Amino acid sequence: MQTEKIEGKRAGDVYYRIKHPSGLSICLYPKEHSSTTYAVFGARYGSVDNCFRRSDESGAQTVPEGIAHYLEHKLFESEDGDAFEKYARTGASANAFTSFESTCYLFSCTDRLYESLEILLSFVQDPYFTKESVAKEQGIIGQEIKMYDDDPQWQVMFSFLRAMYQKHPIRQDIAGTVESIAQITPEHLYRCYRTFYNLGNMILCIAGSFDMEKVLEVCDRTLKPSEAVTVERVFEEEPASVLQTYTEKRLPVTLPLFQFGYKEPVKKGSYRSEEEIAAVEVLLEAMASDSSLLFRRLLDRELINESSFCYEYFEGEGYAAVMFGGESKDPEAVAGEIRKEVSRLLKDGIDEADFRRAQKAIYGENIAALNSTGNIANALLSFSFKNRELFTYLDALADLKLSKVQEALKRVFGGEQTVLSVINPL
Amino acid sequence: MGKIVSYPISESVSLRAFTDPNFKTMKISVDMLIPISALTAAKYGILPSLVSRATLEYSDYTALSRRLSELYGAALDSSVRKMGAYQVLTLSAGGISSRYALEGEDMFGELCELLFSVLFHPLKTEDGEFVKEHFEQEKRQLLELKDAEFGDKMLYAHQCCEQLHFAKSEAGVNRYGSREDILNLELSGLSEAWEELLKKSHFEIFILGDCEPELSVFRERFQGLGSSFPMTYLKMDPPSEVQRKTEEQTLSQSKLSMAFAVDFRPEERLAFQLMSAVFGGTPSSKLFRNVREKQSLCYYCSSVFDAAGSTLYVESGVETENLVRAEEAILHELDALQQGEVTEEELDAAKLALCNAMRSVRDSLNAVENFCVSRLFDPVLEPPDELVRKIEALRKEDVVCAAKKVVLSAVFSLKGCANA
Repeated sequence: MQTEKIEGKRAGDVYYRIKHPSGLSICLYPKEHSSTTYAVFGARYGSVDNCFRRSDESGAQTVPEGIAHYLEHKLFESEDGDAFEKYARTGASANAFTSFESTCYLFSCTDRLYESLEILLSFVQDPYFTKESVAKEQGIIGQEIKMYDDDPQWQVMFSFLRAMYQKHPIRQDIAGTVESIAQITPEHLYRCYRTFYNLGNMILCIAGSFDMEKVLEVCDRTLKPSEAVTVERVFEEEPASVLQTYTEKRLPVTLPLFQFGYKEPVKKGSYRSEEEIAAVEVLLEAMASDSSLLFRRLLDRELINESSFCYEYFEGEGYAAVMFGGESKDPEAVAGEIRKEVSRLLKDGIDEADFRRAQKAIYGENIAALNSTGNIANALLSFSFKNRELFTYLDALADLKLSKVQEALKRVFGGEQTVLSVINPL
Repeated sequence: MGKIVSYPISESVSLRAFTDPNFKTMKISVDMLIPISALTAAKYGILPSLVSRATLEYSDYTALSRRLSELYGAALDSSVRKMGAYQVLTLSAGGISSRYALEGEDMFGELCELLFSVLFHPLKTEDGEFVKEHFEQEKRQLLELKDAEFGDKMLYAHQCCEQLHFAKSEAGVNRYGSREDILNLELSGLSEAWEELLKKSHFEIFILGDCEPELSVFRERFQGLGSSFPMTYLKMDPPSEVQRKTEEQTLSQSKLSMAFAVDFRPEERLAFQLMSAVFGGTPSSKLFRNVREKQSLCYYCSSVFDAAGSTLYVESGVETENLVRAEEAILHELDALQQGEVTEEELDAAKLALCNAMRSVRDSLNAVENFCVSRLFDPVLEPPDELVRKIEALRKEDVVCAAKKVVLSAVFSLKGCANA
């Protein structure tokens, strides 16, 4: 078992990265004064993984949309009962979620950690599907899909992604569609489970108060070594251009919602470094946070409000975009102001004082996030899946140079490929 | 390990400190409680965001935001919520601990200065009014917040149900007042309204996280503020009949929101919380296991006990054709609970979940503040560990007895149609 101690001098914390003999990567972040311990067990398998190639097979396979999310629902059932019933006996608060690139099972507890950990590791490694149980789940997932059909925030986001991406599966809904989930069979579920729930493709992250030896004892007892198989995501090549520059839907809302963003050309298989991510975070803070001139102009023109305006660097394997969103009486005018600001910045660059201020703000927010065991464990997991390290990111933020932000500015906005997605009232 | 320590400043001002160097942040928060009324809800509701828009030193929104960014993304927040029959207006300042400040800033001093500035010296013009542009901006944003609530169908259904349930009580007044009341707000008089709030509110001050507060400064600043008045859980007459309303909208999924009147004494509060956990508060609850999982009637179906408002709510997302069946199934589960159908497993699971949530309180500064404020109506503030001990001692009979005091009061159905 290889154990590496990772020290974060700025955070004043340490954590341990362990390669377990089963193939699983484990991150353990002690916070001995915390009452709560949070554990997350995740697979690098999300809604984008509908076409894949296993290292022990020659061809790629395509499966219906929505299987990662369907599996998340079904894994909670096993021959000897439901995982929630087992957690009910330890008092842990459990949940799971599927994102574009990962599926995560988690719990937080203040007592009986090792029992809950055993439940987590066991049920995720123990798939049990029958034709009947798969068919029954279609009703529940169908209801979930309908709930999101009515959610204006969700709809403005997915309309945006479908307009921005021509081929990349990021444009598909995480839960799939009522039609695609009707095609899912137990065989599909077992096939995808055996491909992606390989311990070499998974991570366990725990933050909180625990005895490292006891955690590893549970791991030794419950982890079943996986085959030495790797899996490759197969994506069609994504053009640099967007599919549509404008998309619109109508829903029962009072004020229009918008999502406006820039598509960044991304090389296949490349990941952005800690420094590159830090540079974009600082860039967006300098450009659009509530201390920016752009924000002030939008507010003074009554085009946005403080409670809904937001922005994000949305990136993963094969995709990257800067997105701005919120409610506005005139989404076109918001997009126009953002375009103007991007042009100005591309010409003049980011001001030194704006950069310093933004850097301090993002650094503070990241330090503050280390209060929460949930934030820590989830960050360790998502950083690991993207080949990044948490404390390296904090150092990159604190040591960031303005020149790196100027480079990021050209990289994320230079392509000038934009999409405006709008939800209008009925 | 931090402890919640109370320092009464006066009859109307309490200060509670929860300091712990294991946090990487600190927060100073001032909660002002005042009885809610349709006449004043909008006027008071706009004030926290209006006074925190700028300060004497940073007299412009952007200048103040820039100062907060320089303080490592510190937050100067305002919020308005409702707790039973009271409006709770909060102003707070939060940021990282001084030990993480790269340039050695005294974060506690800086945050206190900003918070005191907006509380005691909000920016006004020469004629003593707030700045007109700031007022117009806040008024517009408040109206847009109201509009956004219509877009969130879970929230919308809940609010409509709450209005039906509290139709005859001030507790039914929206936390910001009605849309019309906000539209009719005028700048003149708001400055006096702020002074009125400082004089008439009950104050709860919180100093939380990694900091070493100088209590004398707080005593000096807050002594003489506020008014003392009795604060109690809402008392309501039992509903004579169930209020019902159905609204149709163009939606894929319908929402069913139900309110139950609850008659409880303060010392019974934990039994009602446990009853709600058994009924619909956890994934092992009756509503989740039977209505959602076994009968597949709802995508979500859960209960929450609002102690301050003496109400139990059940919220669910339902297929339109299942609206009636879902309501029947929910009432069937309540009836079973009232008849004493509670297994040892159900009771133990609910107790463990509730104790787990209670023990987690001290891991979050916001949770500590919410815990204390939500227990203001209790005769004494018992710490979370003591409440854990009391929950563990509750018996099945306590849960069944609590369930028997739950009476259906209002049902709101938001009916999804293809073309409403």
